[in-house]
Amino acid sequence: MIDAENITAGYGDVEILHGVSFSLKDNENLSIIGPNGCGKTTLLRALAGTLSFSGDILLDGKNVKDYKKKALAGKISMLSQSTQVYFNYTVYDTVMMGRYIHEKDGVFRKVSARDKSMVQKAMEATGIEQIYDREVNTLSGGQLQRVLLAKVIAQDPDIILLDEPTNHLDLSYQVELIQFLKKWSKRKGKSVIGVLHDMNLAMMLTDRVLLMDHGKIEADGSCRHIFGSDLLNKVYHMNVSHYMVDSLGRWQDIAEDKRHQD
Amino acid sequence: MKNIKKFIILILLCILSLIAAVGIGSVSIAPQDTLKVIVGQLFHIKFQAPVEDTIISILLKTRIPRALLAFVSGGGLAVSGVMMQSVLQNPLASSFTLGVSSGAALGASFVIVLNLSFLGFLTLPVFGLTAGIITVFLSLAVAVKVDRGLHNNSIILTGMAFSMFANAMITILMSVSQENMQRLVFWQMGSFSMRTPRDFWMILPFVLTGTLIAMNCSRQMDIMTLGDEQAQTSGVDVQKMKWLLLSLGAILTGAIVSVAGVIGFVDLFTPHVARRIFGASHKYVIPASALLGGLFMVTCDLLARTVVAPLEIPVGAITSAVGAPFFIYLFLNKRERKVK
Amino acid sequence: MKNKFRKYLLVFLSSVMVLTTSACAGNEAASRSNRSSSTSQTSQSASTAKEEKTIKDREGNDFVLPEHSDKIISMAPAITQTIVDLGLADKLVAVDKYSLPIDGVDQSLPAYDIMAPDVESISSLKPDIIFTTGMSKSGGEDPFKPITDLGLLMTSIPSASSLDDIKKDILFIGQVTKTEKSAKKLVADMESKINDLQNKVDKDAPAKTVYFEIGESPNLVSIGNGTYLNEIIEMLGAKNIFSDQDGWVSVSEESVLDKNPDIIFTNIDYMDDPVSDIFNRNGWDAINAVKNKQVFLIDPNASSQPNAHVVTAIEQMAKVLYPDSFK
Repeated sequence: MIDAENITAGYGDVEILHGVSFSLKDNENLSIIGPNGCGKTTLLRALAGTLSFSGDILLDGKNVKDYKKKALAGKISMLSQSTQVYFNYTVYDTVMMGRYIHEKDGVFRKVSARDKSMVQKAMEATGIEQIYDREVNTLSGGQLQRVLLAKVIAQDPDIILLDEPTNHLDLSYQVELIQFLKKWSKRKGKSVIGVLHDMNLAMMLTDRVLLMDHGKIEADGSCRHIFGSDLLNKVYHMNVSHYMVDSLGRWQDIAEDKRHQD
Repeated sequence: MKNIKKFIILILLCILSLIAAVGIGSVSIAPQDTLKVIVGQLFHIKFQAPVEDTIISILLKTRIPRALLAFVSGGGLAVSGVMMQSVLQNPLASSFTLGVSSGAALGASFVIVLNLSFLGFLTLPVFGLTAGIITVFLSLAVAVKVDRGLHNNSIILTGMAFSMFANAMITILMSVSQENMQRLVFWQMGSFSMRTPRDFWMILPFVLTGTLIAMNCSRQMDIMTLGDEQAQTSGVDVQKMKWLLLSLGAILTGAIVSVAGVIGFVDLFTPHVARRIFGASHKYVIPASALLGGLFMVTCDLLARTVVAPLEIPVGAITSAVGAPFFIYLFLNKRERKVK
Repeated sequence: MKNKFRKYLLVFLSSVMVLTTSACAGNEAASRSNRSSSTSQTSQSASTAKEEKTIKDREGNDFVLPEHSDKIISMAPAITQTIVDLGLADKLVAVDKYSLPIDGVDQSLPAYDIMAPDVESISSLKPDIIFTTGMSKSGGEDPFKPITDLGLLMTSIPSASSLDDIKKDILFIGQVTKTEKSAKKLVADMESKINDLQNKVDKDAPAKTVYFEIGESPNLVSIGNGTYLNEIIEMLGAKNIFSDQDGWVSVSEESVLDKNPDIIFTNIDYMDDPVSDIFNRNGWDAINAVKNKQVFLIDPNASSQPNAHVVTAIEQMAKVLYPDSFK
């Protein structure tokens, strides 16, 4: 579905991505991990079409630059790391904005039944149906992120790009979100590409991981393969597996104690 | 209360304000005379005890054109303000941010100082409008050179730069040509005094077209309030919209400033009131702002004419004097709601 | 021997120092009391050969008349005109920009900006007296302060608000420039011409109502009570429709329409044809003055500059009000 070849992109004079290439099949999910500044967000932006790049990105065989704006948004859409809102739109209205690509242009559009049901389902999926009439500029960061996620879900593109979607969320929501995304992509035959800081969540989302560092792809493969190798240590400059095993050990001890008490 | 009901009330208020603007002025005219003149004019009836010629002139040729001009000017400025705020994702943006009013004032200054009149009565408005539009285009052109993505911060910065430059040029012109200084200063303060029906008919097409185009783009404008990135990935052609709407706002404001001078505050303040009452959706906010802008402007002009009659205060002074405290009140109110 | 000489040298040097500093102090005190720097060096009393006369200037302050008035600077066209009338045009060393067009003024004179006078240039001319109108002070700061600080003599003649003021201004200028005789004659001429014109007033005719427009963009500007134009209108037996207002007033179109004047005067000079502009105004065709074609242009200089030429304006206005008396 996605064929990215030799993508180079940056901001102003600074080049961030230095010739990145990868492919994504239909209905395949992908996690992207890597240290700050490695180019994860830049890559997402190039894919979404919000940043100019050199190289080729093909979506379903067609060059991304040849897509019309609405059509492109129907294929691939992105949820940014953080968004500022300044106006008093309701949650419902904001989620409804995701239906734009399915609407006819003009001020006299009617909201279709399908639009309404998609919006409702999206709100339920992200757990915000209770606050549907709250004004978005009064919400907390986490609530706002869920609203914008619901909007992307209502938009129903083939590929969703998520830039660190779990940042503002409570732990329970983080897990809930990843599980939801996994189910959603499977059920609808969609793809989710998630930039995640938390490797556990990355593993939860998908088996395939892209490890990036300094604007290049260090590794592209299964979690098992990458997490089992020395690559993580090299990229993060620490002994990642030791740290993980250590933590895991402690959790296991706590679980043991609990079992003895019961 | 549903929005439709609110609109009906708003329209009624607008009609009321227009009636007040015609019936009240620095000269007191008995209501029955006002009624006689208007009814007589509309239905071509001649009354037994006719009203004096000068009173008829005041009503039909001074007050009505003035009230109508004030209404469309206020409406146009308000719609322009809505567009600026949404496109630039900035609740404090106004059509003056991009330098259109400074540009228009500079164009008008040239006409006044050089005493140009080769287009007759159209000379001043045409120069003003053209200069205003050129200024905005320059701002956008430089912004896009500096920042290919045409991000809002860049636009606002270049707009400010050109605005300040135009103001500096106006100051230089004023100091070099002192006999015209008073006229230039007063022109910059904005006034509906001595305007003719012709001015109203000149502005009307701009305001109507501008409002209709804006309404047609209301969905895109809604989405653009989420920021360039979110808007783009929602399918909106952000760059095209920015050029279209910012230019449209410039033309709208430029046209009004060229005829009435610089009247501030209406475009900053009425969109906020509209959003408060009707919600943020542009489908409602645009027409509501237009009506509210008209209502506000007509009321301010009425005050400008009557507060120290027979003297007249420039209407721009009233819009700021009345608008500013109201604006602060809105702000404080909003703060409290948020905390609760 | 050496020590004694050094002592005498010290005493001599210190006495020289003391003398020079007291002389300088004396000079400073002299300039502060508004004396021209080219005159006296000590702060001795007035019982010297030179006589100094103190009169009240046109702002009501004490003013010491200068010794000479051979180099005059005028910073207002009204004053420049009077100076030319008094035969002193050749004594002008500099004027303001708007004074240059006045007949009789040497076109090669330096011309300054009223609101921002070039202090260095002005002081290098070493004028004996500088006339201003005090209008430049209206911004709060006096742009002429650096000039007076240098010890140059300056006097402000505020804009006249009555015909009497105009006469007094002329006499004052005459006193300062030592041309009292010419000044008195100028005033006498003025008075006799005004008398003649007043005699043309038909006392039995009903007073006509007059609207005098001195500005129209963007708002209309007219004159009220306390202006010499208002005084002239009343003196000619007519009624100024805005005599209930004070000074210069910005009026609404409506009020002019409502008061329906019989006669309209305008003295606007930045337009080619202000009279036609008034005739073409929307709705003004209902006004008596427009209906009866009684709209007239009054000489802008004569009516806006307070000097002896105001008589021209009075004559023009009288001719309009009482055309029969001039046949």
